[in-house]
Amino acid sequence: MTGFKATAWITMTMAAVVSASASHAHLRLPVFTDERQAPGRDLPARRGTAVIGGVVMDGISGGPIRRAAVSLVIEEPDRESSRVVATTAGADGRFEFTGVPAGRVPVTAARVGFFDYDNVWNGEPEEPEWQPVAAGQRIQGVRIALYRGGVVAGRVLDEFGEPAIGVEIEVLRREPGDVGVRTTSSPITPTTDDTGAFRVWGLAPGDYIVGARPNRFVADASDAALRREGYASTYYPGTASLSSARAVRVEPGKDTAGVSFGLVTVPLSTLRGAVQLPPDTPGRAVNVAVGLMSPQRLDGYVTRGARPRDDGSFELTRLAPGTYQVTARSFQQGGVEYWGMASVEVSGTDLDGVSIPMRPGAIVRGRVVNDAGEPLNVPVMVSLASDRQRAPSPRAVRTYSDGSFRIEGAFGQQRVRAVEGRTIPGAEVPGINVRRLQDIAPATRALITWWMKSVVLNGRDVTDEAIDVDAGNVSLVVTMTNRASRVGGMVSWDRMRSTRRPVVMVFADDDTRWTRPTRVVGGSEVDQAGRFDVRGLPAGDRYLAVAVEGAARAVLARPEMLAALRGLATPLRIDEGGTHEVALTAVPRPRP
Amino acid sequence: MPCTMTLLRRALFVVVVVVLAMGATSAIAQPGGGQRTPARGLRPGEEPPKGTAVLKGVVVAADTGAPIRRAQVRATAADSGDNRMATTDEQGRFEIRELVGGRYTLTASKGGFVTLQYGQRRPSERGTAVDLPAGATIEKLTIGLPRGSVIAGRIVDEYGEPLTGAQVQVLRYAYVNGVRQLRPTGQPDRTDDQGSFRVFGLSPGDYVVSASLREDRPGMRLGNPDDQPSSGYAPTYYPGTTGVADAQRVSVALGQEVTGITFGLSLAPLSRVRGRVLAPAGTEAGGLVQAVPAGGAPFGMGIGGTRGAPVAGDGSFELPGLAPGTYTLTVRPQGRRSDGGLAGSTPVTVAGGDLDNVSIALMPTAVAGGRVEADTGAAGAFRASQVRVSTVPAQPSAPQFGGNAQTDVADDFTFELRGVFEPSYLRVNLPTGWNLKAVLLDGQDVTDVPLAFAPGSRVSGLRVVLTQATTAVTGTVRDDRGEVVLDSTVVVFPADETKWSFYSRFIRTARPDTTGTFSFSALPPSKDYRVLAVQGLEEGQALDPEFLASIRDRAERLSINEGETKTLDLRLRQ
Repeated sequence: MTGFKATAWITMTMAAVVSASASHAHLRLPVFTDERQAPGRDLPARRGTAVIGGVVMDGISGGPIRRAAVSLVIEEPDRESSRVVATTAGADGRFEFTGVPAGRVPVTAARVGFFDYDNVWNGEPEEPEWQPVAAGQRIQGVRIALYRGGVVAGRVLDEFGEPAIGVEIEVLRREPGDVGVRTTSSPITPTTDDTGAFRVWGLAPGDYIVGARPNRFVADASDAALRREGYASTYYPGTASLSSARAVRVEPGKDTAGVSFGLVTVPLSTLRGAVQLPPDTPGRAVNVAVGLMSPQRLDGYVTRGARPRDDGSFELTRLAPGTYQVTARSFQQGGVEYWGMASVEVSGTDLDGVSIPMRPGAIVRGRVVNDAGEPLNVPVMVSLASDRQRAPSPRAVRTYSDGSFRIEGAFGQQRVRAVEGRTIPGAEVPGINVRRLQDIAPATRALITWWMKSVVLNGRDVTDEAIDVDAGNVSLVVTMTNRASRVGGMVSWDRMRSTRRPVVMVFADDDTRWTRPTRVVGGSEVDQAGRFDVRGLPAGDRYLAVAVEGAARAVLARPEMLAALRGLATPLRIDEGGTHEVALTAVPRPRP
Repeated sequence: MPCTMTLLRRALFVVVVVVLAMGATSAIAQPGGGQRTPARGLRPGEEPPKGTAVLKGVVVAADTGAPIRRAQVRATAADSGDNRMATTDEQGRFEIRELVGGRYTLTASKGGFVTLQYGQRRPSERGTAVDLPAGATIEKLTIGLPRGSVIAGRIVDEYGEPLTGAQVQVLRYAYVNGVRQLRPTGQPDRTDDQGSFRVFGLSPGDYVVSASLREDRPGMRLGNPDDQPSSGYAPTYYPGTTGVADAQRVSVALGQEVTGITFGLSLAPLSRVRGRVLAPAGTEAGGLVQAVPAGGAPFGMGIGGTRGAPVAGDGSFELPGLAPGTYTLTVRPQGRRSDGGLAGSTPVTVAGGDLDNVSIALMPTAVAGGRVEADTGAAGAFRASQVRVSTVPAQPSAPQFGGNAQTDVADDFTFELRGVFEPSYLRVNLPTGWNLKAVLLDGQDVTDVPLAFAPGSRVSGLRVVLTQATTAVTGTVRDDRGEVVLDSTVVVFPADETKWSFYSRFIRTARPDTTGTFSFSALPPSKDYRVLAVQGLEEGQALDPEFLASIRDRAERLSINEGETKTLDLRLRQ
């Protein structure tokens, strides 16, 4: 009897822990620890003789920030992993790490309510900056600027004009180019107080959509009236439609008050249906999740989950009008995954008989060839990335020696990516997250010579589009080229002003193509001689190149940063397999 | 991202283990409520029963009588498992339909008001159950909600500047396992960028206000020894003390808003405890060392809360970040090893500075096996899958420790509990309509006797006997003038004080329902009960031995035989 209660409790607590953890920028430091590739895990941690010290300061006032948590990551190449070392800045904002081994070490700082422009918590996971440290070196004066986050404050009222109490506030960040919005994970889940007031703090500068999610946790809808009508997720200034929402501008350290609005009442619907269960699977072993599809939302998010009855039938109540994607997922013993999806239009009336077919994942086969169409005998990692993360994505696979590959367990709409199995850190491969590369080849880091040129399905070029793998019998031809485009050149920068070497970004001018996954945004660190090298961008007329001081590449790849860099960049054209030389003068990083 | 996930997964692993321990605590605290009806939560996919009975009424503000719109009203019947909810309309009216009938508890809640049950007079008491015959309609049920009180203020750092993101939790005294303790109440709040907090919806009463700051870092949670500061903010109580004994109570009157509760968090030195777990020869040390603060862990995983660190291959461990205080270092039994795994614990006290050479001797845990059977001996009376067997530690302070081992019952009705670590009772969750008759070991009735479960022992031949026979005690409570009293609580307890354990099956409370009738079902047969009607009994107070001792001489005798039904007419003596 107690067991059931304890279990439920644990589940809730786990959920809370996940969200709390995910919101913390520092969890995103790359600790490349993975059971399957950490043979030397039991080796002792490396100790060194270098010292790194500095100060954490307010990026606007320049004053010290007390008690910030300062972390650095130490690579453990023998263990094929990294570890995080942390300290707390003192009352004067100062910190010092001793015993740092030689290598490349990124230093970051965090304090609740502040954000580090390099590790903005509401963006994608960022790569911290790796700083070279020599044995015995004393590095002093590392300055880490944190910026006090902006604030959005207001009140939420119900339809009677009375305070809506305990309502969850949702803050969505609008991406530049108006391509859509993305959830902001703040350190807390703000809710309205007993006066209906809310205050969301610690926001990075930008444009935000502010919404209220009332009754998000009304799981019980045994009451007919509760099933028929309720509050919609309502966005400032008082609309249930994300596209009619008005964005709120947030500036660092400033309050944007008066973001008040009333909740919108909408008819609610009940959706009943059945999951076509996998063999020998009771319904309770299946997870059904329903998510509101919105073209504005770039992040896949789940509104609610349900557990089907053992015959597969399920019921989802209290759905506001809109288009929903209902998914069912289960793992069989032996690791076979079943998944299914149905798209449902809800418009205020109840819906019956929604059927969700569940199938084991499809097999995607293919071969990797060179420009001449011959099998490529260089190892290549082929991966599928779900379009907007609606369907689960299978693990990346490595090609066999004849260039063929086989991916199991693929569902839905997927984009195909291929990258040479040997990589070099510091070379951004268009369309591939750097971290993926690190994952693929932590030990054998060599220069990439082969670049993905095209993906062809049944004679059609699907390089830049998602393919439907559900139909089965997907057979791809992935062409890799060793004659990739190359943009290189010398960068000049003010070495007195910036001790850090600049980063070069080369990206397409078309801002609608900047949102990840993208192939048209590339970057490169600058070597000691001042050279940069960006390879593998597809041919195009309208590219821009810019060198930026004092920023991490992954930060610069953010769409809003590219937008800010546009006016500072040099236009260029990239030809198929062409080599282009550009001389650049580094510009300071745009600051909030 | 994959790296992040790996890290997250690891963090979760550690967190989940700790949470298990805390979960056990909270689960075991449940019986303290005194309501000993088998919980029949609906399983996933299970439909609530559907009937035709109806409850109607209105929710109003207690002070003005004005209707409360969109309040949530929930009707729950413990015996049938029926559980339905409705919201009030613009006139504050509610109507809950399709009820099967039974004794319903009605609970009304609305943001900013105190959540109350129908008939509830005091915040820490239960309300009056509504007796609803099948198919009937009961109307004009009025629930008056008092306006919630508010405690608001600011949390500052040692420089008097706002502390952002501090968790503020108000606590009040309540009975847990028969002991009056400070327990968190209401929704905690996090301070905003101005350090401000506002805790609302509180009942009138005396509160202790606590604040803590979780300086959250991955290494901290993973027990990374390098990732630890030497000082941190310790949980602090208003007006700025780390000792709860020195905390100043904040009194709030009905609907009052108390502001200006501003205090600073205290910086405390953090200690590092290093040591070794000592495993018996031939076994391998491993797992996780947890430091559980004495008196429980109301502050979760942060400083002053539960900390954990992995045990290295050579048995060494290093637990950093401990605020001054006394902790129990515990290694819990691991996994589903057939021998039950190893466990051990030792107390440590830190007061700044590091502590080295702490050793935790691990002992093998016990394994307990047996079978579940019906008293009639009939096979197939219930399904094995309907039963789960668990242990409940005999000492309420222990749960953070071994926790309650639990297991499913196999298709042949046998079970084997592993990782049992301390003297415990054996308990089962029951199929509907079944009661626990006895737990037998070698012919002895050990239902209410803690089983020793010596380290490394293997107890076999336990018999858990279930019965469909039940007992029923019903009655009314009248005052000196012979009038029925609804606002009273009936306490049934054994005269034998050795049976006054926090997990006693024999201590139960009930309140008269709307017809004036109280009822106890499935009280274990005993010739030596005492029964008394009292007023103003706090939730959980009946498990307090001192309270029972104070009423024993006034209580009436009561004897219940197996299968017996009794009716009582009790007097409320002022």
